[in-house]
Amino acid sequence: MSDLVERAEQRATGRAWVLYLLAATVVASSVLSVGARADDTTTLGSWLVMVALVLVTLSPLAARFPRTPLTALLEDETTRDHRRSALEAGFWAGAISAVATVAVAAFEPLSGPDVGRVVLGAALAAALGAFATLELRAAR
Amino acid sequence: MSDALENGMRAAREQLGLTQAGLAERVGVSRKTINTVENGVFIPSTVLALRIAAALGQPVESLFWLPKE
Repeated sequence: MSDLVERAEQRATGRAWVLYLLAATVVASSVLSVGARADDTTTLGSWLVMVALVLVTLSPLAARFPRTPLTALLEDETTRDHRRSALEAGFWAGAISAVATVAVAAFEPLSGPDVGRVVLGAALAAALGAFATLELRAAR
Repeated sequence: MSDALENGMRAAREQLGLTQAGLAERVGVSRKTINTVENGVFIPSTVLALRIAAALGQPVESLFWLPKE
């Protein structure tokens, strides 16, 4: 196997496992921060940093810079297709969780920040998990 | 109308003594792209299909075809 193709495969596999870890972190963070006080800036700040990191990771920008032959292999046609599918999964998870929070709020009051964390957490975790699964499955 | 696409990539690749990684290097894509196209999991774009055909030295229409319905 050529060095470049092998390195790209290793990086892509490593990236997929990091995505799983990020998904677990997003879920844990969202669950643990539900009910946090609105003036708890530390919790809010760390959650926002995590969300920003995840959004950058899901964005094609993460693999495009710097522009090298290796990053081109990490962002080739199947990866772009997997990313699109992952974002689609994230959309549906977000939509379903939004409907669920509306239903729950009819019986149990939910704060705006809590709803935001649940919906965004579901969307991001689903997108991350889908992306990782598609990438690992393709590499088998 | 089915969206499936059949291909003769594996046979053409093995005829040239190439591994999936070797073909990936020729085409300029990752090995998983070659793997998913070869196994019919991923339908390549026109550009990618043409690049694969060029790397295997075959016309694209002899490498990819629609399944008989």
